[in-house]
Amino acid sequence: MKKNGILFGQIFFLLLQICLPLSIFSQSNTNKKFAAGPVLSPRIANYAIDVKLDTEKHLLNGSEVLTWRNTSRYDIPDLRFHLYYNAWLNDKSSFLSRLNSYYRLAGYGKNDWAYCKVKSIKIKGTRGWRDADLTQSMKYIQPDDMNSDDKTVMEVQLPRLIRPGESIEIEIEWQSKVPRTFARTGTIDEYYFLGQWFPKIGVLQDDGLWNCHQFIGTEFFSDYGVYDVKMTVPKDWIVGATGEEVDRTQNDSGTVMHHYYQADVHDFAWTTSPHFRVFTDRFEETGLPATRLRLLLMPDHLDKKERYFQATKTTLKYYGTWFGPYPYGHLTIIDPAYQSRTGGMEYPTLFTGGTRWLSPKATLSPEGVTVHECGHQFWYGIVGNNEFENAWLDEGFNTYSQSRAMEVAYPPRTLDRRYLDGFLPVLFPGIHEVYRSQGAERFDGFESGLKLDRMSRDSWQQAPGAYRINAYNKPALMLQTLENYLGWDLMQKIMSTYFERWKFKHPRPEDFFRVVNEISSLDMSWFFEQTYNSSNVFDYAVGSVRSQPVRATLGYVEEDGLLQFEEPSEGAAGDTNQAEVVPPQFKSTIIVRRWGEAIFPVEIKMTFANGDTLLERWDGSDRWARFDYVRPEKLVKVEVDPRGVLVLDINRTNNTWSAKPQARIAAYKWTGKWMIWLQSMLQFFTFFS
Amino acid sequence: MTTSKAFFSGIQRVNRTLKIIFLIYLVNLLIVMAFGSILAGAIEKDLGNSLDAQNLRKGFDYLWYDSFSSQAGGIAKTFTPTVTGIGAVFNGLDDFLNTRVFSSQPAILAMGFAFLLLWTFFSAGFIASFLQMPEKPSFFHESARFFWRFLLLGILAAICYYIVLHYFFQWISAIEAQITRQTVDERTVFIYTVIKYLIVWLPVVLINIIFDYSKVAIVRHDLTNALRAPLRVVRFIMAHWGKVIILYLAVGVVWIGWLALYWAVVPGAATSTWGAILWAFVIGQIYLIIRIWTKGFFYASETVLYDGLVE
Repeated sequence: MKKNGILFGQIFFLLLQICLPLSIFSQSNTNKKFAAGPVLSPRIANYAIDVKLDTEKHLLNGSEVLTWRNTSRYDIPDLRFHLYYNAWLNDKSSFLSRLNSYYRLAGYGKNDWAYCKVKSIKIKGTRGWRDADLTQSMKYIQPDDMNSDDKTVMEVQLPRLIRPGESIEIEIEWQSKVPRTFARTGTIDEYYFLGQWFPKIGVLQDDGLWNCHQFIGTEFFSDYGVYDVKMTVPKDWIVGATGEEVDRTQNDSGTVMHHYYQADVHDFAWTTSPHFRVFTDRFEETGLPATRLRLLLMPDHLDKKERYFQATKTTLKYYGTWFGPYPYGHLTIIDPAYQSRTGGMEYPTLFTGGTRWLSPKATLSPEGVTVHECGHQFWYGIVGNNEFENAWLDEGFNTYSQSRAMEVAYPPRTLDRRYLDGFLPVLFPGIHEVYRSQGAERFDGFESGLKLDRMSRDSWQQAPGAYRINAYNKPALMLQTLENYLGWDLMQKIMSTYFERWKFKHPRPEDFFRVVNEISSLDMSWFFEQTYNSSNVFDYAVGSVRSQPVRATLGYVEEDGLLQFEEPSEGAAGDTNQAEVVPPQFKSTIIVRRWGEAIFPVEIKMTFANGDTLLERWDGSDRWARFDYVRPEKLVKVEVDPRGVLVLDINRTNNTWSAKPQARIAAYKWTGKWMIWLQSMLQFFTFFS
Repeated sequence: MTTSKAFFSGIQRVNRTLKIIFLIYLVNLLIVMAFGSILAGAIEKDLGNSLDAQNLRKGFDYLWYDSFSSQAGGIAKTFTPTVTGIGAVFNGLDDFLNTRVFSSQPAILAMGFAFLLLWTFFSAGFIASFLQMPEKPSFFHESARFFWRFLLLGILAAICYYIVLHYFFQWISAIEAQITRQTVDERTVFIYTVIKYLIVWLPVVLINIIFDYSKVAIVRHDLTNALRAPLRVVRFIMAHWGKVIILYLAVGVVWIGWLALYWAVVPGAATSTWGAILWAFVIGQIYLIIRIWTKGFFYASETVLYDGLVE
């Protein structure tokens, strides 16, 4: 009986999950018009927002109706909301108090601070609820760090429990003061980029607990839904936003209301400025849905128009082909204002790129950041992991995917250095950055920071300095290593299966690991245990190599049952006075070592003087392994992991050995160049003589 | 005395001191070689028998560099791939213009000040050689004779430079930051940055001119009170400011010309044979010798101008 009861409950719950998303927005005229397309996501948190921007006071005066559904199997007594702009309320917020040492707040004026003030919060008398004012029950809570000065999470108590599958409509009046652009939101001059700008409900987990973290410095997490947003801005200001513009109304007050709509996304960001120049283009690729592209470009970057579009199309093409198609049909690219610190940020159907006024093509700016942020449409936008806790599931996946796309579509980035306060770039032809498939990006930080923390710790709790490494670098290298180990065909199948299975959902790391094991038909737990659950490093090395002529035996030799003493031959070469055997043979002994704690099977390639090669396989589990050969040729080269499978290896310099080392000429070459720099530097001192 | 005569006579006279210029170059080279051997040793040791050396020989190896730089200490930490080609000069020039040069590694600062001291010593010898004197003075004798006076003058100059390059630069930078704080067009900020550097470096150049001519005056008139020389020189500069400025700019343009030529011919990272590596080094050394020659040229032309105009 009990079993049947659970089953019935599950079916009822499933029906609710399927039916409710379709009905939630059925009342709205706008949504009748635009919700005709397929329902892609569970549509749990749905917003109708009306916001007016006061550009004089940098204020957003807004009202929103949130329609939210309890998708857990538990009765819920309260609701939790993010009020991100309270991170700039004062320097005691959890965000600013942690970042104080990195960001200078000294120059912050009164107009630069921010807040998000909820004026009222009410339950609308619909869907079986009575009108109720919850304003008095509002309180700030600090579920993460108990910092009572932090007001980035708000909790309200409901007059009664909200049952599983039940929906509720919440009406909120609020005002947000927009900060000076900081951490990729805010305003500078007549430029606004508004991310995390409205009271946003947290995510209720299946276990009935709220996942609503304070804003401490990571990125975000929210449920999928429908956003129906009306933004009123001064006349002649250009608006770009998540979704597409439905209509536009000219007001008598010299303002214009821009009405945007987007379904099946988990966040909404927008930008406005009179400085933008608007360009449009279209992405078309056989086998993939067409996408309308809209580019909002700042005047100092007009020459970057085609580069932005091309990079966006590159991303939609390769990510779409490799992982799964981009489903929304439109995409907005924002070129952020100079010194706005809003570049390189992703939101659903919208992202910010970033470039410089002088930016030669070889520097791949804006291409690199465009591919990365556009790539987030897939890893973050469509596959919506929890960025508070598992940032690597989008940042790491996307960094890996970005490198892949860049490697296919663009030549390697040429090294440049920017002079005169960073305005004037000078290229260094012939020096290129390394692609991830060849090795680690930012290897220095990776190496020194790798042991700071393990990837499996929640992103917001990562050790100081470890977040970036464990969200971006290490997971990207982990995935590249996995690709090298399994092969691209299998890896592509894994990635596309994971994408398909978890699109419009909230996957956890274990969900990805399961897909890997399932698709590869291998148990790769040993790999993830070391890379994800541990901070151990990989480092395989050539320990020592000897390759010497085999000499005649010295001492007693048994012949016909008798012991014969072999004398050193007269005039024999070498310290031991031993003659070399004829025909000449060489005994080669190779010791390879595992310096790191982590274990990975590696190949060892031996190359002999006549060009012959031997490939050995070592499971890499012992601390060392020895290989002996007696061959007519001398050993000239040894390579551990010659195909570069283990890009997680923290020191690849020690992976190879050559009988003809070229370290001296290489050292002299670069020291010579460095000496010219130093000599020149000293001569600049003489200006003051 | 015309500016052009001072300019061309300056060339003739600086060419008379080529041996000294070469001597200064050698000192410059030897000081740096000592540190170069440390870096070369560090790179060679790090590479060992690794195949990475081949990549580094043919071009550059970013993987190796990232690993090397994360472990490097001391002087080896200053090694970056941007020291190749024109970067060898531009890196220093950029650090010099934005005064970051004074926050260099202690070893580099010490080397810089040692070289500065050496120049201070040689300056008098140079100027004496450039003056038309009945008897040709001994270079080193004159250098030694005026050294303490020049050192005193150098301390005064250092105070002036410090005020401008530290306090004034910070003040101007703060004003620039305030003006451009809300500017969202990079081109506008760039213009303000250029103006900032002009505002800062105009007085620096002026101080440089005053103290250059002060040295000339000390040697020319055998002034015993070095600290009074700048006052005397200011009167001279005010009387002949057009010629003084044009001459300074003309010699400065010569240096920029040498720099442009060097940029055009300097090899990049793709040198792989001993011959090509040596050739890249030699081209760099030629530029450095010419750079010292140009410094001497500044003194020589200024000496000729002063000598020709002063009573």
